[in-house]
Amino acid sequence: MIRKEVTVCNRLGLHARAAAKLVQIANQFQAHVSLTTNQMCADAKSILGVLTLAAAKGTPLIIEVDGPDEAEALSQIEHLIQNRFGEGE
Amino acid sequence: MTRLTGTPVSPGIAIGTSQIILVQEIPVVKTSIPPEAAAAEVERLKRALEATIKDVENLKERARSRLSEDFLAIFDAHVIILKDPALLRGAKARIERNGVNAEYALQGSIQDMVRGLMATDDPYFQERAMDVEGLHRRVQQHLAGPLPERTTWSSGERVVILADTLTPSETSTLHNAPVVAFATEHGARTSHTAIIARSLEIPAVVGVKGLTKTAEPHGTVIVDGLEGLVILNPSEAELAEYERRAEAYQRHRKAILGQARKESRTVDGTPIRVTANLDLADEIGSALAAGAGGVGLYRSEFLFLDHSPALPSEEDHLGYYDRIAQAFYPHRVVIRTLDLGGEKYFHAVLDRTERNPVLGVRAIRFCLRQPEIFRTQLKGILRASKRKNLAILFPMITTLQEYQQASEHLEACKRELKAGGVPFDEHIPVGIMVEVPSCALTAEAYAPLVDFFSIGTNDLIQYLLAIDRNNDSVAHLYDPMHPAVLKCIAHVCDAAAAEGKPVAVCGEAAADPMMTPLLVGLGVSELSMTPSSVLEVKNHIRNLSLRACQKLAKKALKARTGAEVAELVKNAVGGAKG
Repeated sequence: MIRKEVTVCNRLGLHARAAAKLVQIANQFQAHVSLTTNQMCADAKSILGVLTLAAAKGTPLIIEVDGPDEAEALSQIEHLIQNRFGEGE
Repeated sequence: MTRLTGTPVSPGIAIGTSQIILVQEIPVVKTSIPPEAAAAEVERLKRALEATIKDVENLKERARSRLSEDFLAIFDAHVIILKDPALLRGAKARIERNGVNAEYALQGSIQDMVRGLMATDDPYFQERAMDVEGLHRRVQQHLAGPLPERTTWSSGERVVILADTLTPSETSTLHNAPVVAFATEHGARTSHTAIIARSLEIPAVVGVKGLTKTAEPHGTVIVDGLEGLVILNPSEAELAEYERRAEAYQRHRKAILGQARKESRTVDGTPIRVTANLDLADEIGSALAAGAGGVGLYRSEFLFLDHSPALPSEEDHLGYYDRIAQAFYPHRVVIRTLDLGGEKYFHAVLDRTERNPVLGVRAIRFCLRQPEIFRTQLKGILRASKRKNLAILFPMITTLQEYQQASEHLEACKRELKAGGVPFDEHIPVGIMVEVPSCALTAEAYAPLVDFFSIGTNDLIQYLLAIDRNNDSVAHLYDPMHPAVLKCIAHVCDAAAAEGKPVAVCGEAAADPMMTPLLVGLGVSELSMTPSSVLEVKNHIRNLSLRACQKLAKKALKARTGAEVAELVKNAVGGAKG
């Protein structure tokens, strides 16, 4: 199991399109991926869970990945979040 | 024989056999499952979910060539919802703990999902929650065994789809079916059924009240997408009549299609530009095919709705407008700045508590209160203007001061881009939309300042005649031929002509063949309309004489009622045709 803390840095936070992208990427891996804010924890493969986190810009997020392809999964998810989900500024 | 009326959203006439699609009714029976059979039951549900996911993915592939990326993203959202582990987990728990069958367990779990999505603060997924019912039905169908959906059709079969409402994925399942027409109980011009029908060039009527209650499966149906009519179980005489009309329409269509490229000039040589009103980038193709001489009104609201709850960035604006500017080059594309609010569009940035939104903070009023949103859009338009075929249109101007403020924002954006060395059209034409009577009646104040006028007849009529467009009880009072409406249009045309500025009309009246001779006669030089009407109106103009239209308009301005005007037009049609 590996973990990493990142900060949501896109202007809109984990909204519709960003959440959908994140779940799509998580779904590509066998590993279990969870996202934890200081309030709750969600399965990154569950759109309902990710939306319920309602993580706004500036929210610290702990990504925990557990499974055979965990390294690649973590790297891609981290990249997505830090790239502001490809939204530009 | 039953005649039902609705809103025509895609022209043409078709006759076929009804296939009824109902979204609401899913007969789910509860049975008990012994503990030893639970694992197999869960497995059965898993397979049904997987099969449904595969269906949605296939549909997306099939629709890919016909729909835009934004539209296709809806399929992705459906897949994500179906794959949500919470869905299977919830159903599994019900099967194991409560000892119920997969069908019943799924229903409970789906209800949780809908409630969960509705509870999030995310309009995009709240809207998808509505689609979940459609997905649910598909999973249930897989659970019931082989899908009843037909994939083979005998040759010569003609299917008319009657539905309460159609989700994008349902509409696309019909891809291989010999569908000749659509009619739905709900929906509007911009609903996807309408868009798909137009792209397939088959007739469609939406908003047909009582349709699914009245219609019988496998009955004969006539759909008239010209008049907005659905006829169930027609008589022999009616069938014969509509077969004749359908054929005549086909012939006529073919003839005018051959002339799509031809200019639209009156018989005495005056060019009247016929342009398209566009809501979505999806309609570019049909507008070009119909020979639209540009875009008279691009409604940018859809770009905002599409990004809801977020706001489109400058880059998003640039991308959309650049695509349209390129598609229509060298013809002009008029981008109307955000007309959010009123009775139409919902977006998270709007104040939902307004008592009377039609008279509230909408369109330019909203933009002037939210200069950040406004300037982002203006900069996007400017950056897309380097081909010099874009123009800007400010909606719902009521006072000169509003126009001046909007212009100041535009000038500030120009200065900002200039300082950054960004290329754009420095002389981009700017017009105002005349929708409020106060603006129409003081048009001479704006005429020296603006580059063009565009009259939005839908709102102008609503404000002038005090009619709520969504209130059926007053709908009969809505009359584009009311002399007050004509006087307003005449006043704008006169004020514009004094300064040598052109006037366009971009409401529904622009596509009304009865209105064409009046508008041309009053001095309107551009008519902008839904792409499906472009061919017809261009053809109509080629048969009109400007002088006869002017004579008609003069008489119409002296009429006392809309009915009198209609009478004048009817009598003059022969004469106006020169």
